[in-house]
Amino acid sequence: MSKLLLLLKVDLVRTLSLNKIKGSKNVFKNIGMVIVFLFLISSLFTSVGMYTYMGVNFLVKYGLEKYVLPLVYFVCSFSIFYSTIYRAKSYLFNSEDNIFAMPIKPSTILTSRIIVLTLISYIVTTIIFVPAFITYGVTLKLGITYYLLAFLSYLFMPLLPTILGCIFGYIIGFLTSKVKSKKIFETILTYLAVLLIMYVSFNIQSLALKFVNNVELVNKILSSIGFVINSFMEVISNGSIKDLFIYIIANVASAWLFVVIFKNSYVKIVQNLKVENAKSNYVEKEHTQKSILTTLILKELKMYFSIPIYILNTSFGVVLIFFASIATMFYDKDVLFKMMEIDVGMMPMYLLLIPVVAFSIAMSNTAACSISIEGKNFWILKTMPIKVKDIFLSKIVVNMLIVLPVMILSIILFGISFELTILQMLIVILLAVFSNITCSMFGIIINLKYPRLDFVSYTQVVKQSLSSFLGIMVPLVFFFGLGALYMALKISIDVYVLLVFALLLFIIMIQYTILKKWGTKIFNEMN
Amino acid sequence: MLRITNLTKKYGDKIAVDDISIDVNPGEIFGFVGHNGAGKTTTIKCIVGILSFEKGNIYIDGLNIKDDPIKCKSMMAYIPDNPDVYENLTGIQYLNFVGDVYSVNKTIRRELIDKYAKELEIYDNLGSVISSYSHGMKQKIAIISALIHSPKILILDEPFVGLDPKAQFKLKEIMKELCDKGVSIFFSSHVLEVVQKLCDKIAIINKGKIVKIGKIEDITKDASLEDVFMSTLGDE
Repeated sequence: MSKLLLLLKVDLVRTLSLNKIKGSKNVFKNIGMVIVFLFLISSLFTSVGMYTYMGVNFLVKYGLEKYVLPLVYFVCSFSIFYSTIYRAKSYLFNSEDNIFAMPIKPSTILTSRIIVLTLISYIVTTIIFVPAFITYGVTLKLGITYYLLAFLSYLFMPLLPTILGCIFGYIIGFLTSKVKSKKIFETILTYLAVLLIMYVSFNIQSLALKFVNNVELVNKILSSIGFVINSFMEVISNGSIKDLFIYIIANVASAWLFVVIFKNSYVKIVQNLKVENAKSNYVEKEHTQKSILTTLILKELKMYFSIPIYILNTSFGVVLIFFASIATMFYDKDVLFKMMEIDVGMMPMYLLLIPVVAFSIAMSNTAACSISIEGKNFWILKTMPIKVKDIFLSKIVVNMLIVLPVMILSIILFGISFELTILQMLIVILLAVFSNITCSMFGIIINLKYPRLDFVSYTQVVKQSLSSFLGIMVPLVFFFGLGALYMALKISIDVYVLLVFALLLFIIMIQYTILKKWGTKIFNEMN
Repeated sequence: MLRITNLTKKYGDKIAVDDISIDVNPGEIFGFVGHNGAGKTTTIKCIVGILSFEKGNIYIDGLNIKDDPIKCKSMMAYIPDNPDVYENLTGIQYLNFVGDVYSVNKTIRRELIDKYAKELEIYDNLGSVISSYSHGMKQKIAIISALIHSPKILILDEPFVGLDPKAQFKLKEIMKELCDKGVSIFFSSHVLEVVQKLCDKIAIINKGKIVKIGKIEDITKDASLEDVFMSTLGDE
């Protein structure tokens, strides 16, 4: 077996944790994982299919349906590009293994890692492209040639955005390695990207109209800058073989050029990114003595704010609601509910605010991976004279500290905009506190059930672990159920709010008992 | 100070530690020797509370670790074979974290951090994040964190790995100094010369079972510990 194939095999086993999947003997766990996986895939396929169907129907009115797949291409490319930036930093430019000490050419290591990143990008491509292609083909009743060309486009599609993601990952890594407060800098850069995505997402309708009104300009941009998208459009809509070649060559050449250009400097780049700003001028300051809980909370906060991917993945809801609350002070008060497709005429304003708050809280569950994130440092908590309940409490309090101050401020801003009474604001704030405690406790429980201490990069535990996924999804489904309950029961608002309070309190008590008995036992058995 | 009675630890069907019993008295240095995979680290992880165990008991100063783990842990300090400490914190932040958890008075804390950080020559780097440290520097931080709360017993897993010769010498001095103050030390090592010179008692573990235990002079007699160790394995 060649060195490249050997490396690929090992890299794939490590990155996708294939040994774990193969080695799991727990039938129920395996079935559960398969069900969750199938549910997730089918939901994503359905969503993409529906959006494509809506897009085709919207643009067909203007005779512009040929732009649907290029738009899907753009979304897919951007998703790959954006996710690769993170993977590039933690995987492509990772020097934490002894691979560089082995008699393997740097270009072989680089190629192997690029292939693994591209294979991961195929997951995104499959989820977005396949349902979009099928829906588009079925809606417009296209023939076999379309499907053949679509398949060829799919095969080469992930290469270019993956390579661009790697280059940007390197640039961000390089810039942050030169800055003193690199974590803050990286977080700011990431937030700018997130805000851009949010802006595009929330203005998709007006952007679509601008797109329709400026189709000539879009055409010019596509043919000058986005020649790959343009080629893709020509392949799909006109079946142009010449453009198919351009499209394939552009994608393959980007990967080839990247390896050729970077192969000689790869080792140096990896080493440069690893360099930390070490100081040797410690000046003693006054030591203060803190309680165990305070010191645990401070440690958790320091850990949270030093991992940009952790901040990004768990602060989306908080950032969203904060900007929305400011936006309602200056723009249309209904904008938030329009974004979330809630009919404003149906309920009083303060009741409409509850699902928005609940959604944001569910999206900001820092506790769901807070035990896993201890990783190789887990021994520290295990060997110290700390009560397990204090460890759990510190992780819950940290989630509250991260979410609640911004949440309460946002609720007050909403209250001013919507002219809510003090009592109404208090009810929403109390519901936010109760929901936050419920979610945090659930996060700890789910993380104890599905811990992942042996992660290679923070991305694996924060973005890709089962506990992180369930820690957000289960509360979201639960809050959705609470909303549906109101619709189904048709009871008065006061009774409904009281019912929600009682239910949340009951769940908190149940979760407290679970954490106290089962949680402590599981924590003590973990290693 | 440390009493292990009939300790057994299994990983699935595999017995990692098989019915071992050990006594370490106050002020004693106890060496724990064995080849890779013999059961040293598993035993140590059971003592410090990282691993649960099926059979047997572990007592720290007369208290059973299963009955009162918090009190037992507050009397112990542990240095693992791989010094994985919180890389996002600076050295001084980590030491203060440990100091707070063990409720170390701020005056004593300052005094001990100063003393050990200067002795191990890492004082100037205390303000840097631990991720910028070398392996040896992380090991030094782990050692200081173990010493600043004045434990009654020190549990060390391969403490000399990664340390420079000067730091190794200093650590041995510190170990002797602590023993004179009545602190017990239980440590595993592959450096048999150090074990022979430093320890009052030793145990040799092989395939999870203790094959030799006792005072160093009774075990080695006129031979070197290396010869005894090799002959023990040769008896298999």
